[in-house]
Amino acid sequence: MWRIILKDLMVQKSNIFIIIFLCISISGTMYRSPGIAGVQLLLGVYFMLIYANSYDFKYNGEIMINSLPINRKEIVLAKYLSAIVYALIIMVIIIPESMILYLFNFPGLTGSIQAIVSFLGIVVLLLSIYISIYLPLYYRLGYMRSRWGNFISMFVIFGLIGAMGQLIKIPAGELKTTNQGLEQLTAVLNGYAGPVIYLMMLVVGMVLLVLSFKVSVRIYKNKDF
Amino acid sequence: MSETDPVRRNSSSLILEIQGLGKYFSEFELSDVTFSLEKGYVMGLIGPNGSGKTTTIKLIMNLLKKDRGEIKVFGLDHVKDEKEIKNKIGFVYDENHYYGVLTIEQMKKIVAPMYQYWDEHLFQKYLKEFDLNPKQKIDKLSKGMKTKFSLAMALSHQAELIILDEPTSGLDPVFRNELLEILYFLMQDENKAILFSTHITSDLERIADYITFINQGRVVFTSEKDQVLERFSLVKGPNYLLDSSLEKQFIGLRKSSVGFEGLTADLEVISPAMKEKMIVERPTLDEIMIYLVNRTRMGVR
Repeated sequence: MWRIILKDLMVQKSNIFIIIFLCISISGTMYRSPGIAGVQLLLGVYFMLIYANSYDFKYNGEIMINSLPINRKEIVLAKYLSAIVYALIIMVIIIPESMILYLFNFPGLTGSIQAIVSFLGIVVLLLSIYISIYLPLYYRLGYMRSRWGNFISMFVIFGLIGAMGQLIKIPAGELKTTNQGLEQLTAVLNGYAGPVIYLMMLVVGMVLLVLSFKVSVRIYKNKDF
Repeated sequence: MSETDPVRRNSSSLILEIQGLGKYFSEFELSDVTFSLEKGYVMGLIGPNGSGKTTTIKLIMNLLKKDRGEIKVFGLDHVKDEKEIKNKIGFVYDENHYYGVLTIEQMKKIVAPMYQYWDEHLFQKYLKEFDLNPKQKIDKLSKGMKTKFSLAMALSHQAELIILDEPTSGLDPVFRNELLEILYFLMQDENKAILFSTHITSDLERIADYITFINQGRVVFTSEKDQVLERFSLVKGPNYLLDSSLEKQFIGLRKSSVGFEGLTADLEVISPAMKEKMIVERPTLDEIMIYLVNRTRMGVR
């Protein structure tokens, strides 16, 4: 199963370098603007998933993968874990870089560790929602037909962020960014709810992923190649 | 014309057993496919394009879900024991499904650990024998070299059943000959079996022990190759010999200004006197296939 994840990373090696380059080039976004970092993370996972799936489509690779001694449940699990691995890769780039810049008191940086925790909680939930919608669609409709579903689910998530920000209408406080929705929501949760709500978000995210995984396995087990 | 395997086989030596296999698509139906393959033998799966050969292979590999029937590989259920079975199957398909952006070495690193009995030494031996550079990207290989790479992957994990789906289509005769030599050598090991699907039947005349002929989703016959070749006769003669009773003896008949040519499975029915005026030849698998396909197209089963 880990070999399938490795395959998904190896086939898009050149694209990973582009994503790493983008992450590094937007220096210190986590502290200067958690909103941008959130968008960066979501878009990064979105593109990496699309790229990996496009290679499966291009070479009709699922015929080869499904001819190997690996069962369909493991293949689906590998895809879900790949998405988590992509998110970790991007976080591993963004977070240390931001922290280094923060330690050196880079001019113009604002924020706190608590702001980051709040931000991560929300982004993890949004990421779980996105993966939970996209992957069953991908397995049901195939790569070509699911592309629009993928785009729409990403669009809806960004729309939700914006809408929530408008509804809450509370100043983001210490977080100044172009993405007010995400940061206002972060500020509200950060100020009023405490760690319990982040734990809840994590649990909700996990439950969504598990449910989505079960749906995807069911679809994939009955799929013809 | 339809018949099932006439050879009663010892079930413990059976590598592949297919019984009453069916799969329905909106425009095509694979119906009641039954055949079996023993250790140490090569089964040729023949039929025109779109006859159901690839569908049958995909069903064996569980790439398609069957609607009816039973498939047993090494005596095990092909779905329930899928992982165990696929550890012992080597596959080569008509198209390359390996990821072309990767090199041979990278692709091998992904695939090899999935097999329980991967033999790296053997893989390196095949790379050398096939003149494959491990650092070469798969996309940069010619069609023949891609097939050789697939073959190296298929033969490097102690597979006992080798499934080849049209591996020679689009390849030159030199490479086709090379492939047949490799398969011939492989069959020195009596624990292995090969299922070889092709519409280039001349490839099978050299190495196949059994032939299963599929047309329009149905098995027309499954039999020993020599029995198939002996059962049919290709008859040529002048047109004046043809009358309605003689024409009935032919599975298919082609007439031209210089004479007729026909395939028959009932040579004994034709009188010796008539035979003296005719040329009777042993048909090739190709000729048998063409006449049987044309007969089905005309609505005769």
